[in-house]
This record gives sequence, C-alpha cells and structure tokens, in this order.
Amino acid sequence: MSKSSKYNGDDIWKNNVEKINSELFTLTYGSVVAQLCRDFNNNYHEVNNQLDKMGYNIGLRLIEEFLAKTGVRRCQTFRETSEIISKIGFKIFLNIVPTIENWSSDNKTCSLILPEPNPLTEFVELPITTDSKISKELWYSQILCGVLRGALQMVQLDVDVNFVKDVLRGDDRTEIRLKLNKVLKDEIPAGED
Amino acid sequence: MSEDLLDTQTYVNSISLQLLLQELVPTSIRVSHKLLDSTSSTTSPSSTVLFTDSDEATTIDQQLSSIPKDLPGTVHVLDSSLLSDDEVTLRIENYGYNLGLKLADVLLYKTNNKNGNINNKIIDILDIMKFVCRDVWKCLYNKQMDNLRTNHRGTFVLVDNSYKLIANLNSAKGAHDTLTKSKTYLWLPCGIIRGTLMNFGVESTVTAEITQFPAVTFNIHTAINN
Repeated sequence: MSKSSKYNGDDIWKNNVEKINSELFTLTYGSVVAQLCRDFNNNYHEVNNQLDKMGYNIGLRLIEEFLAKTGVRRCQTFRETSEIISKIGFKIFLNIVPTIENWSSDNKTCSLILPEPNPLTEFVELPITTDSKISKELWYSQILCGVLRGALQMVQLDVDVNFVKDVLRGDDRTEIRLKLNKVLKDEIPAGED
Repeated sequence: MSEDLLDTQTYVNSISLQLLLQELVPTSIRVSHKLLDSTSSTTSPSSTVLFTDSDEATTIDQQLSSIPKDLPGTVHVLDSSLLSDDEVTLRIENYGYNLGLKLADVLLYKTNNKNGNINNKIIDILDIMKFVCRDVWKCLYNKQMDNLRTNHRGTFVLVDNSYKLIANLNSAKGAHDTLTKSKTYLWLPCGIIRGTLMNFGVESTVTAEITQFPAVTFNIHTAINN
C-alpha cells in the first residue's frame, strides 16, 4: 500500500469542501484570459507571464488551505509528492485527478496529464484558424503552472513546471511537465527560534 | 426525468474561485502599470523592449512588475498610485461585466430547466433584480443578497451584509487603509451586476459603497420606471 493512500481526496472533497458551480469558474477564468489578450494586444507571451504570476501568488496562499484541510505530512520522495498533487491537490481544488506518467530514470521528472474536459478549459476553443500565432504561443491554462510552482516553493521544493502540450492547441492531450530541481533546506525565519 | 446533456452539474472548490478573484485587482494594476509604462516611453527607441517575446517562469524572488517591492506573496502592489485610477477600475469593472453577461445566460437556462419554464418568468425589472439577488448571488457567493429596496423610479439599492470577496481583507496599516483598498475590489461585483442587467437589455450604472465593513451597498440606476 502506498503511503499517500492514508489521505483520501474523495472524502475531503465530499465532506469538507464548500463547492461552487464549475461553469462559474470556467467563465471567470475565460474572461480573465480574454481580457489579458485584449490588453496586451495579442502578445501571448505577455499573457502567459501574467497568468503565471497570478498563479504563483495563488499557489503561495493555496498551500495553506491545502495543508489545513488535508493534514498531509512531509513526503519522502518526489513520486509521493506527485501522487499527493494529483489525487489530493487537484481533487480537492478542481475535482479532477490528473494521471502521472513519463517518469525519468532519476525519478525527478514526470508529466501530469490533465483529463478532458477540465474546469479551466471546458467549452473553450481558441481561434486557431483566424489567428495562427495563438496555437503556437498561448498556454491557456498557464495559471496552473504558476499555482504548482508557488505552492511547491512553500513546502521547500524548487520545481520547474511548464506546459508541453495542450488540447486547445490541437495536441492529442494536455500535459504539464514537472521537474524537481532541488529540495530546499529548512530555514528558520529570522527572529524565531 | 430525462437528463439534459448540458445540465449535468459539475463543481469545483469555492476557494479556487475565491483565490482567482482575489488576484484580479493586483493583476489589473500590473497590467495597467505595464501598459502605461510602454505608452509613456513610446518616444524612446527601446519602447518595444518592454513587451517580452518569451515565456518566463515566476520565482520567489522575482519582481512581478516595476512597481516597487512587488514580490510574490506580498501586497505592496496595492500601494501603487494606480489603485483607484480609472485605468485600473475600468479594467476590473470590465472583468465583472463580461462575467455577468455570460453568467446570466447560463443561470437562466438552468433555472428555467429546473422549474419547467413556467413558474420562473421574468417579466419586469423587479424580477430581474430579484434574479440578481437570488440566483446570481447564490451562484457567486453561496448566499443571497440581504436586502433589496427601490424607489419605483428606476433606482435600486441592494445590500449584502457580509460581502465575501472583501470580508477577509485586512491591512496591516489599519482599518482606514483596509477600507480604501477594499473599494477597488468592489468594481468587480458592480460590473457583474451591470453585465447581468445588460443581458436583459437594461442599461444601468452601478456603484458600491462600504457601509459597515464588510457590509456593502450597491446603488443601481436605470432609466426604467417601475
């Protein structure tokens, strides 16, 4: 039995989470991305970066909620961490469970495959026929990378997170790549013993 | 009962939306700041340099914008002089407007489906306001608006005794500062209400004030006599 199974994402989702209609979430996020595209005059790199910053800030705050709700303890391996991210993190915040695959031999790099449809992209279509640039440059769900990076930073994990594939761009699946750079040392904040 | 394909309800954690909405104000400030930066320096040849042509990953010690001390996890961005600038508030109002416009469609479809399309006819402006108070607010904040008043000449006052989006805000600089900064956040629900009304073809102006933190009063002016 793997260690992560002592925490149950389904139970927490069912009993301990205030829920809202996912369409509301989809619409809100959609109007944010659309507005950013207009604001930056379709400079999609700039849009990606703003979404990433938003996500990072969210991640820094979200981890607190995550730990409070789940009581998850320190993971021993990055494999365990990834299980927790998928089966508990994604489950209790977005009610989806991405699959994890493509492990590198050193167990430091893996892929999260987001299920379709997911609450960020449901009913979303990019205008790829009228704007050829968008399918090469925009990562519609970039906010997720920011969230993951920010949240993991707060538990002393320096991880690279980025999209490599997105169904919205016409790829066969939506894939986020995670790469563990290093485990940061626990440091006691100045002024605390 | 036959299950409608579009009506299968899915849910996400309300915290996810809450966190997303909370980031809208800082992001709007950053976007405005960046756009103003680039227009003010159009005379210089380096103006195009301001817009990046690559994706960069945010890190803990990276400045999020050229606003002083704007680091991840801090709130210094709210000290920007742009906080109550039209450029920023209009942007936030617009986020809300677009959301309200679309949300009204989704909700109308759903409530009509549920009630068999008979009991839930929206006939006059008061019905529309009730729709905002009940359905829209319920969907957004899991609660209804606490009070609805009208002078029957096109002006409506909606009161939410504990407006969720600002209820958790608390500035280290004291209550007065909290109040000032919270005001900017209120442009979002103002936009949502204006967008919803627009969906029914009603043009309006919506303003909000904080009466007794975190109670918020929305003033809605329409040209319709009721």
